[in-house]
Amino acid sequence: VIVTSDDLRLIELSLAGNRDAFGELVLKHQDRLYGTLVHLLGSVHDARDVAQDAFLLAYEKLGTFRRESSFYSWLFRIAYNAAISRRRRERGGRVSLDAYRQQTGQEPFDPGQSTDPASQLQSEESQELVREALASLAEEYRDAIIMKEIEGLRYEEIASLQQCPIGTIRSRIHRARQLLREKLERIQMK
Amino acid sequence: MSTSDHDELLSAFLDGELSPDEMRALERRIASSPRDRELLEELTETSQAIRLLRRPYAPPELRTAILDQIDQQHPALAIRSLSRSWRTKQAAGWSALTAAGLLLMVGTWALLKTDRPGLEAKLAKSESLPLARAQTPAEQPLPRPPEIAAAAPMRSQPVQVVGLSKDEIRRKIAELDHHPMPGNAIQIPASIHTEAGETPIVVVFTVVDVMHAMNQMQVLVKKQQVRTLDNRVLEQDQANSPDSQLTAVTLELAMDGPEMAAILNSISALDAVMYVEDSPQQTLLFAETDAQSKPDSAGKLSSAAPKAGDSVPRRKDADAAAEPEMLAASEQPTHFEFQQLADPAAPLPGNGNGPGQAAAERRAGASGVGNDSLEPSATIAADQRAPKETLSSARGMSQPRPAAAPGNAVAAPRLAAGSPSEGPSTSDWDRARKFRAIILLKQQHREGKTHLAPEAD
Repeated sequence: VIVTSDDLRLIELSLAGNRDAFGELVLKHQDRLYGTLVHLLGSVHDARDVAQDAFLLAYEKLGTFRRESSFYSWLFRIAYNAAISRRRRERGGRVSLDAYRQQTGQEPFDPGQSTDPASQLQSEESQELVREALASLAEEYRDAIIMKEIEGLRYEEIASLQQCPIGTIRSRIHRARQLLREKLERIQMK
Repeated sequence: MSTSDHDELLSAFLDGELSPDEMRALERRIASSPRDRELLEELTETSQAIRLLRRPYAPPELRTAILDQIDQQHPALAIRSLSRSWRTKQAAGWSALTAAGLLLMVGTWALLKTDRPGLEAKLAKSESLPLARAQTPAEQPLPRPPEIAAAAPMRSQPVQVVGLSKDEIRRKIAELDHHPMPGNAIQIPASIHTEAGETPIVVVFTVVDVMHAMNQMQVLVKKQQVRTLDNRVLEQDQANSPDSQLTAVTLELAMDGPEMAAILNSISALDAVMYVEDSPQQTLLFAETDAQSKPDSAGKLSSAAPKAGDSVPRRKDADAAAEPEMLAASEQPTHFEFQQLADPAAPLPGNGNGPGQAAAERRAGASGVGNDSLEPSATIAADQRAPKETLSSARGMSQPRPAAAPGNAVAAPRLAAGSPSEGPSTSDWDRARKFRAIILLKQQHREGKTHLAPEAD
């Protein structure tokens, strides 16, 4: 994996005490990370907190970053571990996307505010159906399929993050797709 | 292969996670299996549906919140860590230098006592230290000079520079708005004698090394060039120039109490650190060490003759220290934490300014110089700025101490009055003098000798 020179430059500057350089790293990666965390956690509040924690932890540990992977991969690993911890700690107490909608009267995902232009092609209703189906998956399936489809990680990387064999990841991803298919069909039939 | 396993292969095929052989085999099967094609299409649609999920932007305040938290919880983390590393190195360096200095002081004392010319020669030799680092001259352009005599010597010929002294170098370094770093160029105005008379020139020195020890900075410089004011090189030092071209100058640094405390606490060779007045108490220390005395009612440090078996209470026993007999009964070394030289009134860790503190300070002050239970100990009396007769701190250490001048220590106030041959300022050596005196005193007690009468000059 080639670490982009820009990231390396910002990392070096950050390590040299340049706080704004780290701010640039945050700016560069926050949307991607936050967007994935929202789907992983099903909560915008949790996603925000975990993203913040992950960046802060990355800042503290920046000196240990070995440049063997991309900065974002390293950051995502930190964030995913933080997300798991958050889930365990606050199971049942999180603000779900539905609750967010009820509490704030706002859509957690503003259709006009997506980081992925292609997603505009999908209707809001379809988006909601998929999110609902995704949220209903067991965590190990949901995490695996999100990391595959949204983060674009390879099985090997997912296996490393979930600490299980690649074969297990292959099964989880396939099972997640099957379950989502069934759920979506059931929802549409209703 | 079960149907389930085969279906997983379809997912893996979709994700490009199959080996080339697996892929080719599966492609053939898909081509011949309508079920596989239908399933693959469903998997593809599901995958696409997830990929098209909107990924919201991060809240606009996220970055600000992160940076704010960094500011609050991790101020200048990188800088701090670097600084910590730097400070650790500095402290270690100072520790080593000080420990070495202690040994040197004790050692040179013996030399002074018996062979002052020898010491002078030794000190003079120490001025010419071998180079340990590569030199990286970073010369700065000289200002456009005025007229210079045409009779200036030719390049690389030895020139007789006048008006150049170590004080000039010291003054020039002191004028810098930064601490010199190895490689820095320092230009000292001087003169040479020519047929036209005394001609102003510039001698360019390169900083070879900089050492900090306590509140002193020693800068080792090497003469590189002698230049005319219009930047012509009159004399160029060659790479293999002798060490005689090296000059060490000592400067006194301003240092606050906490900074000094951090340094002193890092010196494992020190058992205790305390304030004593330079004089006349210091003289008394040497003059009256046979008489075991106690602090007077004002806590004044008079003589504090050590006696084998005397001991000093732990700082945590400060309250108990109000009882003199308990002081003598304690067999524990001191474990005082040096806190602040500049502010002797500051509470010591864990004790505050409790009622037992003043008495403990007085007693520790007395015992710090008068008890030899700090085995083997080194006590530093430092800084004339210290208020009179106030124990600032003492610190017990469990680590091995350097074996300073075994068996030959005899107090020598004459040493204190001795002026090193290279001629640093009096203030530079005042501290060293006090160091030496107290260290010797402790060493003397360790050796069980009690006669510490000053030697006549």
